[in-house]
Formats: sequence, structure tokens, C-alpha cells
Amino acid sequence: MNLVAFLDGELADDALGQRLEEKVAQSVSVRKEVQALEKTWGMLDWLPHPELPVDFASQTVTRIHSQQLRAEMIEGQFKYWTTVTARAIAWAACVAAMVVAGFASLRYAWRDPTRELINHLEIVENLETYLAIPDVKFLDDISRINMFKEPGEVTAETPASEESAGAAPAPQGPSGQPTATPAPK
Amino acid sequence: MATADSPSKESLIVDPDARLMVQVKQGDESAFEELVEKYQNRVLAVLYNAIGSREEAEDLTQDVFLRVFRARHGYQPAAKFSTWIFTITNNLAMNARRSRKHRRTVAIEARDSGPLGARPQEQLVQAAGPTASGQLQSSEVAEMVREAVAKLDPRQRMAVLLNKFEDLGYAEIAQIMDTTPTAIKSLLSRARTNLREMLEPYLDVI
Repeated sequence: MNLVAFLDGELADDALGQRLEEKVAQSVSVRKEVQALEKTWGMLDWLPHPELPVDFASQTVTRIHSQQLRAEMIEGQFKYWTTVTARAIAWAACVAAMVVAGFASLRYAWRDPTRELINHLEIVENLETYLAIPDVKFLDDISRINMFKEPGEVTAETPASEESAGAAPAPQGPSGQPTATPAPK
Repeated sequence: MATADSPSKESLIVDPDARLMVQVKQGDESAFEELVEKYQNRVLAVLYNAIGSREEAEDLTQDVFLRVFRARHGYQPAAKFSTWIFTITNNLAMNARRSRKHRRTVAIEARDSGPLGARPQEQLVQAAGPTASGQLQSSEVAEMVREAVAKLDPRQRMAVLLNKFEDLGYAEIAQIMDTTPTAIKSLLSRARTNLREMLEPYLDVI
């Protein structure tokens, strides 16, 4: 390793260089080795040195220009389509936002006139009956004397044993809850 | 690290090629053309002898200069321009070698290393056969040397080519090949020993 570096003048150690120099001078085999190395190194001068055409430089510059042009075109197309897509997305987002806002404001502002009727349907249906009743005490009184009790009807005062003896179920309102029996007109 | 974007700093750069490259960086296209003209055959010689295919070496040479141009904005003349361009050259040669490694391995296996294939030295003898008794033709010598160099390990080959063709020192080759000067010393020593072994039989007949 040091012999090649010595021949290349790349030995950093001067003392080692001195020793190698002496060895080359004294030893025939080392001298032969050095000569063989130098000769084979010299043979590398036979390696081909191909040359490029004289217009290679201008060809290269032309290629650079065409690449730059192509890159600019691609960049331009990319920019154009990016802008178009961004605009389309922005418009779509605006339209969607307006639709949502319109729907929300309409829903908030518009009150369904039938909703209240539906919520109080039972009262509306029996309104005339309720108006005929003077007060709650009257209702309590008629309830206590079982004045309007149907045969087999279960009331709050009916014992559980009576209830089980073939009584019909109490009438139910739309919500499934038992309803108060309206008083006769 | 010195920067050289202004003309006053540019004058401080010792390497004339680095100065040209700074001009390229500043947009001077003629400076780039001058650099191409100056280095085109040097780069081609290294690539051709490193790869072995003239056509591929020419394409890669152009790629080297395209890369130089593309990298012009980031160029800093901290090192010699030649070190920089041959670093690019070495990288491209390595990439090219890697990309065709499989194909090449198959070809070499079929021809050289099987039980029926000739050994490198035998091949050289066969190549020299017709005129071994007399003086070898110069084309035959060139072919023998070319084949001997082609037999070297790719890294050894690149170190040899940079050392021989570009007369670069170990430190510079180490920088180009991204290794240490000691590793280059070892690479070159092995390369030259291998070359001596392969070419020694022909030293006397040349």
C-alpha cells in the first residue's frame, strides 16, 4: 500500500519515504516491483479518450432551453388547472353554504301552523266539553260519586279485585295514557 | 465557506472554472458553454472507461452538464470546480452501474466465471494470441488495457481513472468519492497491484 503511495508522491511520512527509497535502491525484487507498477501504470495511457462532437456544448444548451420551456409549460398548465379547480371548489363551497344558511333561516323563521294543533289535539277535540265544566271541584264531585261510571269501568276508587273481574280497559288517548271521561253535555 | 454572488467576491476565487461557474450562476450562458467545452471530453473519458458503453457515456455526459446547470443557483465555490463536476460524474456513473447491475451480472456470469468460461488473465492471453510472438498491434494493446481496467472493482476503477486522467490527489479523489484519503490509498494500491498482475505478461511484448 505504501509503495504505491510512495510512487504517487502521497506518502505523508517523510521517514517512511526515505526508508522506501533506500529499499528500492538496495533490493532488486523491490525495484522490479516498482518498475512493473510504473510500467503497468504507463500502459493506462492506451485507454481510449473519446471525443464529443464540436457542437456538443450548443446541443446541451439547446436541450437545457427545451427542458426549461417544457418545465415552464408544465408549470403554466399546472397553475392554470390549479386555479380553475380552486375557483370551482370555492364556488361550490359558497353555493353549499348559501343553501345551508337559507334552509336554516327558513326553518327558524317559518312556524308550522298545524304543529300547535297536533300538540294539543286532545284538548281541541274536547274543548266544548271542557268549557261546559265550571271548575275542578265539580269534576272532583262527579268523579267521587261515580256518576258516569259504565258497567265494569275501572276508576281510581275501584278496588283491584273488582278490576280483575272482567273489567274492560280504560279508554286511552293518542299518547297511550288513560284519558279522563268527559262529562255529558 | 466563501460565497461569490457579487463581482467583488468573484475576483477572490482562485479557480478559474469556479469563477466561470459563478458567472453561470449569475445568468451568463456563454460561461456555461465555455465550461461544457472545457470539460466535455474529460467527463466523457472518465465515464466511458468507467461504464464501457460509448452511447451511454455520451448521454451521461450530457446529464452531468444538465445537473450542473440545474444546480447553478446553489453552487458555492468552496472547492475546486473540477472536484464538484467529477463528484456529479461519479454519482451518475454509480447510478448507471446500479441500474444495469443485474443485466451485467448475468452477462459476465455466462461469459467469464462459469467452469467453462475463461479467467480474465486467460482472456487477455487469448486476445493477445495472434501476435504474441511479435509486437502487439496498438489496437490490441488498447483493448487489453481496457479489458484489464474493466475487470477492476468499480470503485477501484473510478479511483484509477480520476488519478490517471485528471491527475487528482488522494484527498481530492476521496472528496469526490465521499470517502477518506486512507481508503483511496488502499483502493489505488489494490487497483495497481491488480493491474500489474493482469498486464505483467504483456509488458515485454509491447
